Order: sequence, then C-alpha cells, then structure tokens
Amino acid sequence: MISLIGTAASKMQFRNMRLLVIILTAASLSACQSTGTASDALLAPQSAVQSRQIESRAFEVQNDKILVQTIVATLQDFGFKITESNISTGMVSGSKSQASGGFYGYNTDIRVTVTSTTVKDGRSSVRTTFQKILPSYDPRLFRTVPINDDTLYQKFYNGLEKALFLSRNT
Amino acid sequence: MKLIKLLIFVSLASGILTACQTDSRQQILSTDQSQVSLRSIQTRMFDTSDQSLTVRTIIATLQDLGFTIDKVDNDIGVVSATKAGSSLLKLTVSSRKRGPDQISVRASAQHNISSVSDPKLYQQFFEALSKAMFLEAHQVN
Repeated sequence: MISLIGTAASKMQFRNMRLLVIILTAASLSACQSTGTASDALLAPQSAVQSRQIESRAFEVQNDKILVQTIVATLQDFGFKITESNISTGMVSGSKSQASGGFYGYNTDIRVTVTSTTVKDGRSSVRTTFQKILPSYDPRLFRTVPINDDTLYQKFYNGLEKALFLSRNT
Repeated sequence: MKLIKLLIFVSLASGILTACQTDSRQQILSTDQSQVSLRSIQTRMFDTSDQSLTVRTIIATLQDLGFTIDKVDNDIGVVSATKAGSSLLKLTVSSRKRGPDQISVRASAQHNISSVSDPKLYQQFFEALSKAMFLEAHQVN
C-alpha cells in the first residue's frame, strides 16, 4: 500500500516537473519574442503587389503640373493641409487632425502621401497611402499605423477623378 | 419577463457602447460641403499672369496675418502656414493659372480638428490678399 502511494506520489512529482518544464520553456520562448525589435519595422503587413493594387489607380491627364496641382486641390477638398510637394517626383503629402473616437478623447493625425508617375501618352499611375498617427504619453514613442481600407481609397480616387474632370472643363 | 428586461438592457447598453465608438475611418475623407460648393467658397480669381509674384504675395499676406510659413512650392504654387494663437489654424493656399492672364487662388483651412467651410474666414483672407496684390502690382512698399 505504502509503495503504491509512493509510486503515485513520484508520478505526481514527475507530472509536476513536466508541467514546470513546459511552463519554463514557454516563458523563455515568449521572452525571446520581445515586442518591437528594429527589424519588425521592416515587416510588411501584406504583400507589396497586393497593397499596390489597392492603393494605385491610372488616370488620364495632360501633364505633370496639372496632375500634381489637381492632387493638391483634391487633398484640399478633403480638408488636408499640404505638408510637402514636389513636381519632379510627382509627390504630395498632407495631414489632417481629427478626434480619434472611442473613450480616450485624444486627437490623432491622419497623414497622406500621394505619388504619381511621370505622365506618358496622357496617362499616369497614382498611388496613395494613408497613415494614422497614434499619440503616446511619451512624444518620442508615437506610432504610425497604415490604413488599409478599400472604400477609403475608392472615395479619394473618385474625388481625384472629379477634380481632374473639373480642371479639364473649367 | 425577467429575460425580456435583460434583453432590453443588453441591447441598450450595446447601443450606447457602439455610439461612443465612432468609426474614425469614416471621418478621414468626410466633408460637410460638396466638392464644388466648397471650392466656390474657397477660391478667388486674380487678374495677373505672374504665378511667382502671386506666391510671394500669398506669403507676404500670411506674414501680415501673423502666420508661420511651413512650406512653399513655387513650381506648383502652394503655400502652407500655421497660426498657433488661442487656437490652432492651419492653412494651405494653392494657386494655378486659368487661361493666359488669370490666376485662381484657393485657400483651405483647418481650425483645431475641424475643416473650415464658413465663408467669413475666406472673405477676410482674400480681402487681405487683394490689398497685398494691389500693393505688389503697384510696387508700394
């Protein structure tokens, strides 16, 4: 009987040991997986081809200057402040502040960068990326989060299409 | 009876919670005016063909009004500026050629976190700009 209890106890101990080993291994593994290493910054959330497809659109336009000026006008239509622009690279950036929603009540900045290829045969490919700036208690630790929402890009490009139409016909 | 009360409570609570959590994505491209009517409020035409002079006059006007100039692009005629007084006003002014002897100037402003579509602010800005354009055109310093 005593020996039976003894083996049962040793079995329990063995099981406990095994459990302890598993917990320790898991803990050490999760310790290895620290949050936010420098190389994490270069991980893309989706494939480059996929994101370019959502973010890009081709437009018919006379020349680079009209295209860049129309992108500026479209960003103004949506209430963005132009923070950067360059005609030789076909790039325009803008920002806009808005209430973040939710319980916290802080404001976030939305940043947008529009790039366009040089107009060739009356056509150009335009790519837009939207980012949300998440503030932090420490101003050095703010984060940017890409906004991947098909409807957002659709709405923006509809606006740009309309603006190009207006610039052609006024 | 208890179950019905519980159901009503739960649905109300969830209703309140979802109401608090407004979708901030919807706000990103939201405007309170149509593209065309907003442009008519924010745009004025000037009888000049000198875009470079127009950009310089816009900068001078913004300085007159106490703004800090953040960026200038002479090629496409864009000036952005900020005025941080009791509240924050961010302004982008863009200018482009319309025909051989006219330039259209458009200003768009954001006051704190909301876009400005009230015509009054733009009237004031363009009044100041028209005066400055007159001064520049007649070289009064």
